[in-house]
Amino acid sequence: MDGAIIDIKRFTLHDGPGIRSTLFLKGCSLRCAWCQNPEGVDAAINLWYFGNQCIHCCQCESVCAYGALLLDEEHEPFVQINKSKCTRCGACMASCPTRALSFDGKTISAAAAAEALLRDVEFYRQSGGGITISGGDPLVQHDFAIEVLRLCKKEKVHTAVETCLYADYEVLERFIPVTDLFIVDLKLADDAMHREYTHRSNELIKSNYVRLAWKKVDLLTRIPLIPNITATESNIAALARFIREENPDGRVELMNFNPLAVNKYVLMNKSTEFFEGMKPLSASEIEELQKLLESEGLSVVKEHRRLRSEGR
Amino acid sequence: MELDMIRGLSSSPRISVLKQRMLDEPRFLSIEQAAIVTEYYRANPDRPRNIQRAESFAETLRRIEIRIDPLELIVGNRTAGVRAGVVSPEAGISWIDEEIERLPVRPQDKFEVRPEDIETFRSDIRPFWKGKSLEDKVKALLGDEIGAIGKVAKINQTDHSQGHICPNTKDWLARGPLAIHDDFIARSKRASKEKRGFYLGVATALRGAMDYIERYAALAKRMSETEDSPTDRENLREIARICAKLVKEPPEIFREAVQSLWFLFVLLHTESNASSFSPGRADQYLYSYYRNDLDKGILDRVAALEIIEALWLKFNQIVYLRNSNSAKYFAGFPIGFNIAIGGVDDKGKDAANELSFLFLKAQAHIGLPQPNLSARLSEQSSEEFVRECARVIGLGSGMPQVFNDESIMPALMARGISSKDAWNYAIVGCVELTMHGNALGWSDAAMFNMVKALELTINNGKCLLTGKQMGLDLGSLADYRTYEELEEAFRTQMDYFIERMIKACDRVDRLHAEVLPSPFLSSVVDDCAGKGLDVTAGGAHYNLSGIQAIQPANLADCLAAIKQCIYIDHSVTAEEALAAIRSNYEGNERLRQFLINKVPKYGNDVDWVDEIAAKWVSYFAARMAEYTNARGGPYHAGLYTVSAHVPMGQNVGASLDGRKAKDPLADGGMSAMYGRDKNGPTALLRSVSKVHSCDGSNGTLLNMKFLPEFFRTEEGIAKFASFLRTFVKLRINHVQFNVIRKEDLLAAKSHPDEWRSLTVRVAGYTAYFTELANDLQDEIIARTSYGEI
Ligand code: SF4
Ligand code: SF4
Ligand code: SF4
Repeated sequence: MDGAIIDIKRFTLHDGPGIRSTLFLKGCSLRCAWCQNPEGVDAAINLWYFGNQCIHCCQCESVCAYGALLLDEEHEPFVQINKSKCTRCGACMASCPTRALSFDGKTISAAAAAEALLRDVEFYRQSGGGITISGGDPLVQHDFAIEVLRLCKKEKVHTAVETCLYADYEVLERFIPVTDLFIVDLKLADDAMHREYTHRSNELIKSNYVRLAWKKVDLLTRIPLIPNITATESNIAALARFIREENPDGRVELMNFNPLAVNKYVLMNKSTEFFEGMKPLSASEIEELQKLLESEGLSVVKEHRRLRSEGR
Repeated sequence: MELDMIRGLSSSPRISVLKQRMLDEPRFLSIEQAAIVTEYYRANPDRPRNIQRAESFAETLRRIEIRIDPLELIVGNRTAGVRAGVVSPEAGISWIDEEIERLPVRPQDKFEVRPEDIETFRSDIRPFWKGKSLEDKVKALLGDEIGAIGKVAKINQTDHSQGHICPNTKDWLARGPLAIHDDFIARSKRASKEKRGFYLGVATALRGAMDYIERYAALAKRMSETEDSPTDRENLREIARICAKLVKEPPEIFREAVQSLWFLFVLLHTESNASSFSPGRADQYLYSYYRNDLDKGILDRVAALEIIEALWLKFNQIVYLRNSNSAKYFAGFPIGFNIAIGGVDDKGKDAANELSFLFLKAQAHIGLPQPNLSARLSEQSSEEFVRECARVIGLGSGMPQVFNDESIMPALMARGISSKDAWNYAIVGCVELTMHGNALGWSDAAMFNMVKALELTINNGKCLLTGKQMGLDLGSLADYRTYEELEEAFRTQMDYFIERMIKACDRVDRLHAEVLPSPFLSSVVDDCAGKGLDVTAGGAHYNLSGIQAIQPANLADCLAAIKQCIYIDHSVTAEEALAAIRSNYEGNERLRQFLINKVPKYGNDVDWVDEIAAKWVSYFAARMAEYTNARGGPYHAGLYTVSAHVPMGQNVGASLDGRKAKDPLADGGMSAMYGRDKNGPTALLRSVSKVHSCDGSNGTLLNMKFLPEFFRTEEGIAKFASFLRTFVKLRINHVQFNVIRKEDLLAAKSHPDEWRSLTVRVAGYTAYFTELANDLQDEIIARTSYGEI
């Protein structure tokens, strides 16, 4: 079985216990305005041009048999990709001497993905670590994700899944036997805001959360702190009440906004308007919000971590 | 064990004052010993060399100026000033003649020079030694050959004494100089005529040693009589008592043992003026003194730590003067007081004890380049010990570096070392493996530049930098029809240089025995007494010679590029590749980038590339095993460069891993080329683990850089400890860590005054960052670092 992945990253330390490797799958059902991995949202694999790595050797244009690349000495970007003509054959990427032309993912088999994830198995055993599947959202390519998890479980490796919980419960349920830890994102308590900022309602997410909690799975809840949107007292307090009611023993972790992601939007020629003036929260601001969670009796993971944004 | 108690100990004000005084004192060139030795040789031209060495050594010890700071708990140095650059005329001084005026201003390892010393040196010392020193003899016998093969096989030990020895300190402490002296006298009476001279020479040297210790007793006593401060007076009296005792008797209590240990190393440095006399497993052989004192209630842990820290400061007072070229290779005057803590005992059990933890504590407090603290880890190591190591590593002084019992013991046994000696291994200098108290490892006989050998193989034996015919003309890259043909030619080229290199090494080795016999050293290395042979002549129980294979990462990356691009997917033609490296990629940046980005690199856990490195390292190690050295022992291979990857790189033209001409090679020995390992530290460790640890029995070196954030939480420390445990499982011989932020390094570079005590791991040793030359500083800044922020 094949799946579309963004990447496999080794020695990840913040996606569950111990030393881990994390598989990032493509595709997500939400469209968060602040998405830190924008290349993960689309399930399809696309060709991107990163001008900062281009040495203007002009090789790519002549290699493309479909006329999908246009060089423009006058304007940025230097290499323009005509998405409608590009067949994603990869010829330009192979001949590009740098990583300026790259796909934002690749297709590999579940067996190959598991093999790559298991390369560091000695580290997992020594550290109590394991593997994590993240994304995008692993629920989108659920069959593939479950197969990879199954293969890793077979080797007695700890497995974690990082998800926004947006899928039919039947899909989510199938993860339970092969997943040791669910790391779930809750973003906004208010549904109208949730719709505005993620393009989806939070109803399904909440009901999935409740059902998962009932199953007594190991559940770590993460809340991204987006200044003035999710990182408001009222939102955190509302989420805290919800969590306390449904999952009183659960651990909660606040993930600080990471400005590095903005760079990706620039490289992908996407608008960065949303991020204008946005800064990570200060340590004291985070502590305030953590206190809010604690006042609801929740146990808070205090690491001052930022949202992940794998840099290029 | 009282670990919580030890963890809570702080450093004493006495130690801070002593440390500051030491760092504030300027470093001078010292010709005092050279003048005494020269005077002796002038007056005694006809005695046998070993007697000349013993008598001039003893004469030095009787006359050299000595000094005690009333605050010191442990006394003794080979010069009155601290961190002096001692000139040693018997080994080689021609370079000093050339460089003496520039010593205060040279880029690396500067020393102040007194004008009157220049005068004495030029009029008195230098003329006398012309043609007599080791260096001059090597030059006369081998000069052309050493030059001819130098870019591929750099022959070392040509102008200084050997060093790189872990003496039998345990025995020195158990018997003391007088008993050892008497033993040699007794042996001299029983000895055959030709051996008698050896024994008498050693006895003469020991006599000098005792007189020297006696002088400290007298000085301390004299000073105590006029000292006003009661505590200092008491301290001076205690020093006088201890020194007087150590002249005749072995030490009994901990402070005496530490003082005795320190005298031993001062004496060894005075005799040889060589790098790297290493105390080895001091936590083991000092433990009984420590334990007894604790049990008797005459020592507590606070006082013990203060004594240890006093010794730690002492280790920083002796530095090693190198010529400016050698200072480039071994920057920051590493002197290699290597102490190995932890490890297993003779029953294979965890040997870490309270002293191991106190040593770590001292390291955490002092944070200076010496001692070179090494932790031996094994499957048996306790979690407390591994975590404590992790914690101290996280402080950023680059220590302890970590060695792996599980891979090193089998590697040594494969070289014919008995299991009894293998479990008791120690480290000398930077990362060189040694047996304890009974080996002359000659661990830096030469460095073999495999990358240069490959260059000659693909370029008709011609040097890319000069066009000179340097090696065998076996053809060029365009002539080899298959990758296997190329490999065959490479093998032939390597063999050609290996043969010449070994011959040169053997002759240098013999010249040491002739010119620089070391009677004092021979008194503390096992089997010299029994065999009646000087240590330089093969007196030690084990006699190895180590040669470094340099640099697996670049070699693997070059061969991988050739294999993939030229022979498999034909994306590059041999002609294009040759043209590109001949022109240093001028006008073909495209190809250079392509080679860098589109060919997998060593260090990323890509099996076929890593295996190229493993294959050639194995080949080199197997070739070494075929040779026997001048002292009758085996050659073996090491995989470390110290900081020689910079000058070694200057000898190599543009290479097909995308490296430009003269750029540095990969650092360390086992490390990936900087910036080319992109899959993180676990992948790097897995790559390194594919190179057989047995093939690096002389010592291997892997550098890794982590960000300090990693060590901020207990969880991070635990993860790092498990990382170390996996390193043990992966059977890699060595790893060391730089834990410092890039921004701090950049700041230190531009404002050196504010960062004077900042130490970084260079390559097997720790140096003051601000005292490194610019290009080395940049190189350290460029190394890949791990740990998420
Ligand atoms: S859920 Fe995560 S991956 Fe999906 S859009 Fe939101 S931030 Fe991006
Ligand atoms: S992927 Fe193929 S079709 Fe698309 S731009 Fe590159 S060469 Fe052209
Ligand atoms: S081949 Fe790559 S580096 Fe060359 S112009 Fe195209 S994108 Fe730029």
